[in-house]
Amino acid sequence: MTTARPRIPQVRFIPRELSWLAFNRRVLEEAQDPANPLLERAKFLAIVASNLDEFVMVRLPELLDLADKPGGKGDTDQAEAVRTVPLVRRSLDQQVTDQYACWRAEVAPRLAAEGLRIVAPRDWAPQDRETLRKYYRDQLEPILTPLAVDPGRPFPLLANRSICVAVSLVPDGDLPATLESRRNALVAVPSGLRLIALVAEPGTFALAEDVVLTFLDHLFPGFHIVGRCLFRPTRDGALEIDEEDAPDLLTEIEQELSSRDHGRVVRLEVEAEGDQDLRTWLAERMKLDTEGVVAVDGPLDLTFLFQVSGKLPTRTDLLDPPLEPVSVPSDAAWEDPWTCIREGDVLLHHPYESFHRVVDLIERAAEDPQVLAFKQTLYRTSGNSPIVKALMKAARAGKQVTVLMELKARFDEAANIRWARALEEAGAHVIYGLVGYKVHAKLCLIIRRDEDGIRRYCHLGTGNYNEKTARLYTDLSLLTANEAVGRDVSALFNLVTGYAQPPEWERLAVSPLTMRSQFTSWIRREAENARAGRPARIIAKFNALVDMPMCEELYAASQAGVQIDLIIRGMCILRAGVPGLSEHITVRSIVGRFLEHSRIYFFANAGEPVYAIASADWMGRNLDRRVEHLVRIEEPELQARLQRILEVSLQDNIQARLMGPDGVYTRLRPKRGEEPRPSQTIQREDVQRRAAIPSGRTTAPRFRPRRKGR
Amino acid sequence: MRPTRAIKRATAGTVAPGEPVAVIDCGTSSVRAFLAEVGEAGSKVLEDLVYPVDLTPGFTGGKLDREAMDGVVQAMVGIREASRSYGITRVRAVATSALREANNSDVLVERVRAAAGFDLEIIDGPEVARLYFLALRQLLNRNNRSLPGNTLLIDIGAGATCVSLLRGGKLVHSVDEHFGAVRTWDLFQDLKDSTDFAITVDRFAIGAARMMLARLPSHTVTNLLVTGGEVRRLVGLVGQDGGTDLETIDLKPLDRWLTEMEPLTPRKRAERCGLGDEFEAARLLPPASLMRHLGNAVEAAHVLVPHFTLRDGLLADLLPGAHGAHHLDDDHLLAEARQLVTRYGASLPYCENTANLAVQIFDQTKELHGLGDRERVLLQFSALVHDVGSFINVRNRHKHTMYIVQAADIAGLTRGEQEMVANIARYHRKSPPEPHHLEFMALERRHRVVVAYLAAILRLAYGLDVERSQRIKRLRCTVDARRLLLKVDRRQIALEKWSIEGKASLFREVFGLDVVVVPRGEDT
Repeated sequence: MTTARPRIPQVRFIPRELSWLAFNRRVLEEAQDPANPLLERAKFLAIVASNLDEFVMVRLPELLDLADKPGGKGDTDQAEAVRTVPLVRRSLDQQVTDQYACWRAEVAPRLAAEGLRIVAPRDWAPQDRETLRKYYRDQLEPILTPLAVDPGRPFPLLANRSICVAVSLVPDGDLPATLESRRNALVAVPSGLRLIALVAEPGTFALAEDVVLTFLDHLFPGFHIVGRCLFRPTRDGALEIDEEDAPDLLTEIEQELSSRDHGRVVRLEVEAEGDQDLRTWLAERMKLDTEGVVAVDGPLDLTFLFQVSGKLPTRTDLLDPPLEPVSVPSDAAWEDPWTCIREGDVLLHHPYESFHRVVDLIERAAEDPQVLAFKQTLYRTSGNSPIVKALMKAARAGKQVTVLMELKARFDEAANIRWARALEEAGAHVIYGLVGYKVHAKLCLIIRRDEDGIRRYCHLGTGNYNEKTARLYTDLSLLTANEAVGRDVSALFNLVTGYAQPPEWERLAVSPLTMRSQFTSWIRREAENARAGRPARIIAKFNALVDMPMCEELYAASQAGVQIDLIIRGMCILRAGVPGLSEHITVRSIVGRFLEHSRIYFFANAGEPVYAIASADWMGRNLDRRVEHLVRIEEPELQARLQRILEVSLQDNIQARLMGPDGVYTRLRPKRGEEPRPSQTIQREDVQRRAAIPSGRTTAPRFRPRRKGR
Repeated sequence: MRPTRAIKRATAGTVAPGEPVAVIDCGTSSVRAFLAEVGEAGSKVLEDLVYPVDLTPGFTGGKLDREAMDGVVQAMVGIREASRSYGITRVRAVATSALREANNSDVLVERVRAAAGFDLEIIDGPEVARLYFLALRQLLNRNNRSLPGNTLLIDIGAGATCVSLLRGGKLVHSVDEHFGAVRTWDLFQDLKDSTDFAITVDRFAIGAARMMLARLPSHTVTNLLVTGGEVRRLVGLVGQDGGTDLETIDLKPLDRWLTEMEPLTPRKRAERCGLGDEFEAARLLPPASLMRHLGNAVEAAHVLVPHFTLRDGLLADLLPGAHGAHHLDDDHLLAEARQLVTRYGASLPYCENTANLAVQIFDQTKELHGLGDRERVLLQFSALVHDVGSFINVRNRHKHTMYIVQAADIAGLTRGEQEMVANIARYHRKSPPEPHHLEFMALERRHRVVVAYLAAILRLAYGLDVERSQRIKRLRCTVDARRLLLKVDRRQIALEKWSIEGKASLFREVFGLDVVVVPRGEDT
């Protein structure tokens, strides 16, 4: 699918695909870092692999489309894309090379040393070979389907990201084989159990695809296998849905999902040792040139490394020390959550502070007879979501439950369809997103009849309603009974569910209506202040900056003298620290144990600072094509907490990488005599310290905005 | 989906303190709703919902098309869904000028009832005026303010303008005019790209202002208050919006602003107003011009702009102690009747005496009719105005009376009551109600009964002064087995006996009693 993509001249901006790959490179660095525990390094390798899959399925096809089809996009964009494609290919190849080098040279040998070894077929002990042959015969062979390919039988459709075997066959009587007598066939390796335990030596495993590759001769009686090759196709993963004309979005997406496996192949991974003729043949049949074929020197699809920590359950020493999220507010304060929230807004910093309070609030509300209604957005949720279950319970109890379920959440479409159906059956009113917009806001509104009248309790988050990822992602939750926030959140739901006209927002800014203009006006105000010699500063922590107009605003503010510090985990097309363009801008990226995901925005505003948290990054899609929220945090105590989070992030000299004027990130290290300041560790310690203080108040000093000329 | 609980109509006295309600105003360009909790002292708005619609096709007797109706129905369903979140079961939904004028509004009312369960009530000008008056009173109370002297409260809506005259803290008169921001734009949209547009709108506004003021009983105005969405926007454009709920627009800057707008192209005008939409900018001109001309006519230096909407009035009408539709005391209501008598040149002493006699009969026959105080004042009103039709022609004057009363601006009567009064006055002479009398048959069944009772009484009062000399001032009613005896304070009553013989048939029909006039000093 071709999507609109803004023009990015390379001088002022970094191509976003290269920026994305640079982020994945930083993740790879974590795998390469010997200071990280071994199983965490293996997990980082798996994340790199998973990220690359997504890149190849989503971002690469967009770029290739643009490079191939100039029509409608303008020649400059196309030329830009044409220039970017080889750079991306080169970067991609290098990353795969380094990823596998890390696997072969560091992670695999160290895992072996710690007692987990993946054994290649040539090294299988006789006893293992027999066991595996039996396993193959009993467990695998019955579900294998050999697919012959010849002029009468066209090349079959192979599932996206499935590991397959290609074989070259010659009738037994035709040996030695001639080119003419060769026939090719394919076999898909069953998905499921990837690591098969070997019996000869504890801690040793065979890969399922090796077992199939070794024993599949029985599938082709009368033929001799003269060539074998493991491969893995990756397809264009974008869904093409005509929302305007879709009579039923649910059904439309359901049907479209089944066709995701039919997209054109954009990458073919093959094992380096695979038969060369088969590789060529596969590439031809999948209409790929040599650049689309990636030979990997190691196991295909390293995402299986997500499983390895489960194979060493006792080796907690090879993992990061477990994080026990702190439960705040305290159990005593939370005994009556409604009173607790009424008495003061609650800001939770996940994963250091438990997401369980959010889940608990929704669960309690579902059973509370005083609760009249729920309104909830759901973008990505967990497979066994307690939140969805609570909503279903509430609906069954006769409460009004409105769920805005985003069916178009990429790669979570199928799960969301299942939840949507279940919620509807329970009696909830489920709305399947909006035509033309994804609903990415993370909002929950609970309407409760308190003793003194009806009150709205809101949860506004920067992350998804997913209690599992809330243990791995850094995010923020605001629990509030503030009336202005309640009015705004209600209005946002009405806007999305009932097409009501938007109000004048009090505490929220909302995409696609006011978010961009709000940010723009804040940035320009800082620039004005800087020009007038008033305190001016911007600190923003979020996940991606790929919106050119926002970058231009930041460049202009920098040129006006505003000190701008950006903490951007992922893509960033802005060039930082370029004299005359952005010398007052710093960009740093923190990649660590937890996925940095919170979005915090700070504007000095001449001494009356603005603090906000949001569901949106500074991406065109967040600002213009999604329903997103931003909420200003006005309570001084909570502002101080956000300030501290930003401060700790800016001081990180362990997990942070600083972008140079050339766009290259350099990992920060403590200078001589400097304390190491790993931000994620310090955030955790802050939370633990706060939990130990009964009042939970902090006394962190305020930022000192920089004045022009100082 | 759980079943929706039945929606009941919210009216004064039916809402318990703390109960959440929805009030809905279906206007020409939007359907707006407040979801609110009604407390002892005031209301707390929980949600303020606005759904854009376009009901301009309904203007001047046109038909609402399907798209226009769909918009309203969708909005009502949205409001119902939002209401369910708060457990709201009491709703008052009103529609104003666009539905009043559309000749297929019944279809929309029925569609709204079917889709959302709301009883969409099409309210008339006086009711609109009353609701704005209540909103103003609430605002003044909140700000500890009062408005001495005569106050003109003017709401310039999208389709109509409602003008209310307030005196001594009471709404004493109201008129409405087919002048609205969207309606005027609609009328002159062929000129919208020409500089003639602003000038034509302004000249049209002069006529509208004159018409409005001519219909008012008093032209001395101490305070001029103007409200409406466009008016509020003009506050910021002409002066400075301080964000308070009572702002001021000085008329001199308004005059300059209008002069500045006149020669501009629509695009330039929108730019000057800081609006992206030319239509939005053009819509500001009719209210601005009307304010200018009303202000000039009443010699005001400025207008006050209170910040409230019809929905604030709807909410105020539900507060504990609200009087509902009968907000005027009897004296003020009857003052309206007397103004009609004077305006149409009828004899006030004669009408007063007839009303006096009618009330005496009413009070002394309560056991027969069982009616209450409200019906008493309706009778009094009818008796006062029964002769205004003579202004048109003495022949068939009773019929002229009916349509004059039907069409008059009467604050303090509901639309239904105004129809009743018109019918009671109409039946003071000639034919009694008949099945082929369309206006009578259009009344609700209960109202037909009341009209018949009260018309029967009025006919007797009328019959007692055919001489129009107010000779008979007092009477005493007694009922024996089959007769109502009217003992009057005069001895020579041959004319009255003759007259009553011809007028008593309706009384006989509805109460089953013959009527006998008895002179003073004679026993029966």
